[in-house]
Amino acid sequence: MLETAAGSDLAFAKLIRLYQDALLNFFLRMGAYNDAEDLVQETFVRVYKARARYRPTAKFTTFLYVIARHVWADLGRKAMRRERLEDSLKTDAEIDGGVTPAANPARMDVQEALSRLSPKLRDALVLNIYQGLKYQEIADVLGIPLGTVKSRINLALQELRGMFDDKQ
Amino acid sequence: MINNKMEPHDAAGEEMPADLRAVVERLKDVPRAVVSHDLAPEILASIQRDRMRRRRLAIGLAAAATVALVFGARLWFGGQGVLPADLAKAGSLDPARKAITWLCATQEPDGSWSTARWGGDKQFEPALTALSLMTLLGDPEGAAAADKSTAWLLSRQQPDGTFGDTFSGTPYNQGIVVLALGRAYEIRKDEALKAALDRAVAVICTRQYADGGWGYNHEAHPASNLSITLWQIEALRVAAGQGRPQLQASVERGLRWMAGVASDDGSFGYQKSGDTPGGASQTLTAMGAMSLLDGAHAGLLSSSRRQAMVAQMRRSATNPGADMDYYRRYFLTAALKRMGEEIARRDLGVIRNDLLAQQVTQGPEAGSWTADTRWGSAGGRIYATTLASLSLR
Repeated sequence: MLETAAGSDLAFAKLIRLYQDALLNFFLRMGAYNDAEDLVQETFVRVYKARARYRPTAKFTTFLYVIARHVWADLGRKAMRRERLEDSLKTDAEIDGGVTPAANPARMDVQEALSRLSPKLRDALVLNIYQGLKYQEIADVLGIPLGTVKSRINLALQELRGMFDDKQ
Repeated sequence: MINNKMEPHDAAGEEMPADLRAVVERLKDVPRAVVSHDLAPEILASIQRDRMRRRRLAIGLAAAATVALVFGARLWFGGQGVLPADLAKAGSLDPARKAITWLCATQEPDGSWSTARWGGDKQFEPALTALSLMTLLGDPEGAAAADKSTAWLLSRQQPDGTFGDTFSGTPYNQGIVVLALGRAYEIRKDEALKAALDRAVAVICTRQYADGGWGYNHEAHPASNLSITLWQIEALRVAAGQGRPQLQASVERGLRWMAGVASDDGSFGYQKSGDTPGGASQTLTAMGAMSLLDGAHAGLLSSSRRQAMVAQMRRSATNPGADMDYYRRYFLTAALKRMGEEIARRDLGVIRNDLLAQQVTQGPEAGSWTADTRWGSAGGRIYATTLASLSLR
């Protein structure tokens, strides 16, 4: 990352290749689908723009996931605006007849269960289970106390257990 | 690092109740996705487009500012159409641009730069032409000169893969030329260039000593030295990133040797710890810092030595001294850029101002830097101008 900060495109290409799969899985687990690779690209573009702010004292993964969460949050805000627009155009019949995947217990799977978690719980859980970040690293990425990370992960696991139990 | 096995850290494995552990197992039982293709080229292209957009905007703003400045000055000086000389040249005040212009103007028809004209040791012409190439790369104005110098360097490659005449200092030519051609290859993916690099890189690897370092040719008692080792490492780093991952092992061995000549006070020796011939301690320390100040190799130095090294380097940056050692300034700026901290930026500013004060601003050599400095007898004005210019970036 320091070589990238010094302007080396070659070093940045290496970083991309090292982390592109990990980031893709992060966005998929957060609930992205078709646009997951676009989000990976957007994240790296922002990492490049922010390279001068990177401090060698911090782990690169912390820096990376802070930016990835911002990318994801920005997408969420855009989606919310789009949903509001779409909702305003829907007919009553569409609203009554609509069945979202999450409302159908027979189709419950891990991804769907994750999508039912609140964003706060899902953030912490995905960073821990799928991205392999330690509690302290998650605390750094999310900007919350260590104890809160532990409680969020515990709560997330309990909620998921409830969802999986309901299905069975 | 990435946890490829998706094992949760700190997840209190033993204390976690069995039911929650089962949930974790179920979560982990999800296939891991991989990207459909390498995203790096697209991302870099996107960044490049953005860079060009910003550059065009900056040029537009600079042009507007220059017009405003000239127009305002005309009004200020009474509308007589007479401006002070410095203001009249306001549109061409960029020091890096001036250096490029000077280099383009002084290139020989064959693509090289002549030590007979600009001072320096003729045997180092490949290295000096390579430093010029590095200075020109990426600048639109210097593109044609860069191509010519690349062609000249390739023409100077011997059948054994070395560049220029064989003499004791050949490793300097080899390291610096491979570094420059490697960077040229990043811009122009040319097969002839790649083949030349393959042969040249093989020479560097063959000449690495058992202790991991590199030294002069034809020595009665061959010994690694920091200066030559640095250039070989930098060259191999670039070459390794261009589809030659096997070179990483040589780089690692070289860096380990380099870490071995560091002292507890953060300084670096020339051939061994504490060995600083000719009062070159600050330059040697800047070299060590440049090579070892990256995240991947931070562990080669103990934390206390690393801190002492940074402190030495910063002292050197903020007290550049009267002697214009462009070599030291080049390594210092490279090391400071790798630090990437705000405080390093201030130090870079000190070096920059120091260099700008020395640039020739008038006459036929405007844009260059004088050679009556340390190492000037070996590199001449080309050495001074290229290293000063590269340091200003």
